[in-house]
Amino acid sequence: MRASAIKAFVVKDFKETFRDKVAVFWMIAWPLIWLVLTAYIFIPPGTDRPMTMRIGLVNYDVSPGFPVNGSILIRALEEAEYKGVKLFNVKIYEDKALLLEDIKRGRIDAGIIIPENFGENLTLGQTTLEVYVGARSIQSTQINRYMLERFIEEFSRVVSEEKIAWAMKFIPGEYVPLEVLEVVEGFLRGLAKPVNATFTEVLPEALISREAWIGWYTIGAIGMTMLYSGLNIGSTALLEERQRGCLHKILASPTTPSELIFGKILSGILSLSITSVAIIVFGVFVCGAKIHWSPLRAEHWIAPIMLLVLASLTLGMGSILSLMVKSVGGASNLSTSLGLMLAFLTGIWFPREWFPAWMRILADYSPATWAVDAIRDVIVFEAGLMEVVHYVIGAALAALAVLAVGVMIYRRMLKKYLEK
Amino acid sequence: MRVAVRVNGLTKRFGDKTAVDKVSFNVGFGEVYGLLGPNGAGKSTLISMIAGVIEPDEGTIEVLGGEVRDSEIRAKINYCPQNPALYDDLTGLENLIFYSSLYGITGRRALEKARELIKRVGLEGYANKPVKIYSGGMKKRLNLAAALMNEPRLLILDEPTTGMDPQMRREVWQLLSEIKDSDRAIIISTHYMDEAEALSDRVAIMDSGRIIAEGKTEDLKRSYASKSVISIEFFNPDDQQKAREALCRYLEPRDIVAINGSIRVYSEDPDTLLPQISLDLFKVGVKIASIRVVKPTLEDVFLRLTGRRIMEVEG
Ligand SMILES: Nc1ncnc2c1ncn2[C@@H]1O[C@H](COP(=O)(O)OP(=O)(O)OP(=O)(O)O)[C@@H](O)[C@H]1O
Ligand SMILES: [Mg+2]
Repeated sequence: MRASAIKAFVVKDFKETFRDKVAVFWMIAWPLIWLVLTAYIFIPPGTDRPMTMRIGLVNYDVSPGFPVNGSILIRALEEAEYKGVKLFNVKIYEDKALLLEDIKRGRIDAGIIIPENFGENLTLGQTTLEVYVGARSIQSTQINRYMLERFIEEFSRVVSEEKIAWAMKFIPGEYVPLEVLEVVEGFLRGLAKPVNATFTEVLPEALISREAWIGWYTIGAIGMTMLYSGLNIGSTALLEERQRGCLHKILASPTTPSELIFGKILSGILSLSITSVAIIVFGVFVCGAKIHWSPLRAEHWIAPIMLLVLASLTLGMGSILSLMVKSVGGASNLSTSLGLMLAFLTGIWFPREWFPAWMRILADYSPATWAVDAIRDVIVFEAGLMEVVHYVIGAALAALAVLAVGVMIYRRMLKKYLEK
Repeated sequence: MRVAVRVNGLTKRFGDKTAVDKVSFNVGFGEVYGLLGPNGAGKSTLISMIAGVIEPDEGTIEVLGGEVRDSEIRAKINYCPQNPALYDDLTGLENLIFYSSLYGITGRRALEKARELIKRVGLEGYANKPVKIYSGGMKKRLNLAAALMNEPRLLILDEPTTGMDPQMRREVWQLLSEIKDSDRAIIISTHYMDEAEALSDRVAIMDSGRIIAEGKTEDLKRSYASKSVISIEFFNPDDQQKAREALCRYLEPRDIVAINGSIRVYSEDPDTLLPQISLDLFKVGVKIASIRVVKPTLEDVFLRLTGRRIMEVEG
């Protein structure tokens, strides 16, 4: 094989591809559009932060003489936090009607009416709170209601402790022995909170930050683009030369079938690599994807290798596709629709966890998905070599096999073209 | 004659259709060999087989002493297909450089050669413009330039001037006569008889897949036409049949060809025949619009062999 001939195809195809607006749209613009849409619509900024509830309050309590009253409840609401984020955004209303109006309009998520004598009743006995939860959707209602219930429970408990401490002062110490006092206090505390549970948050491995999700989709965008572009390039490589009338001119030159086929595959890989780099750069610097890559980390080299594997695999699949088509237009249409469909169905663009079990089988046995997942695991989720080695080997073997079949098909096509 | 191309019993069928039918001929170095024939005669099919881009069903081809599918042989030939084989998104220069790289001609050498040839075919202003803005004739010229990049010892041209204006055609003829060389063979197909006459040392006339006559232009005319042709045109086209019948009384029917409302009479002695014809036609009441003695062309050869014209004369 002569390098000059192979290089000629690579350079020529490169210029042709990137001067063709339609090709540039599909290979660069389209995946970037998807990525932006996904990053800002499906996983908008703030998705992985605790939610803050908008809550309205009407305070009818005018019993300032008591140690606990409506203002304390309001302060407690304002101070409540989870992981440094305020749980409630409090808005004070003049009357209940206005508050209910705003809940109906969706301006606030819930409202609390603090009744007259709230402080007095709370101090001396029991009080009641009227809580209204906006029922926009079943899940938001569930979450909002739960958050408020938890808050009120916690508030009650804190008040109970205060009240116990306060009550204990009224039991005259000189008549009751200290041991009895301790037992009584313990008993009262038990009434206020019989069960003390400890909560520890365990981070599941699958908990994914927004940046990692965007990283996941960035690699997905590469996989999707490679699928339809690789199929496209692979299925039209020889067909297009023939349809344009250039194949005869090439075959009349000293170019051998191997040089032509090798040149074509190499130029396809180059185009797909450029697309991949463009998507990664865009994903990281525009969409904020979290992707780790260091040339010093051996396992990170799996990513570029798997990209090459994926490119070879899709090009080879494309050559198989060319057996089923007659024209370049037909090949392009088939490649694009098949490529997109595969990307959606094999867990490359949509997470396979979303699929019903029977559909996951497709993803489980798709070598393209293995390659994409190996890349994701290594450079998005920082997995080690051993964790992805089965994907890597599987994808590489599949790519080699498919590419070998592809080269055979190309050879046969060239032979057939020589007959007419 | 040192033989550059030896074709023997070449046959190609497409289904029931025999596009090329047992064709044999030789082309020598220093020679321009013309293939003249109407549409569908099989010129392109024959040429594609010689260029090695389609395989014959029967027969043998020897090119430059070897086998055309051999890469080393192909490095020394070049082929200019009938329909320009160009990449629309590449510039003229880039197209030439791409094709020359396939012949191992790259870098500075390729660039210089491409610039020179672009100038030779009159496309200077367009060297760096994408081919998609070229006109049909400009593409044909670039296509021809691409075939000259490797300075081939065998140049195979399939209708290189079809679709060009007459002036451009003449410039291409000029270019081809300049590159003609004692160490180079050129095969050119055409359906322009003037092109075949102007360029070829020898012409093969093709019809329905066969070579029906072959030889030097003058020899062909002498064997198949005659020294002169008397061309008669009529005021009334209906008179053509009447005139033909009148002339058949004393002339050989094969020497009279009626074509497009006129009649051509092939004769070795036009000086005596012309007055006689005028008189006889006058007698039977045929009104002659013009009658003149002209030199036979390859068209006449084809006419006499097939009774048909090659094509409407252009320009
Ligand atoms: N690939 C093909 N499949 C079927 N028939 C073909 C094919 N190529 C050529 N033919 C037929 O073979 C015959 C010769 O065609 P060819 O193109 O060689 O003629 P040509 O002399 O070059 O004509 P033109 O002057 O129109 O270029 C025609 O009848 C054509 O229809
Ligand atoms: Mg032709």
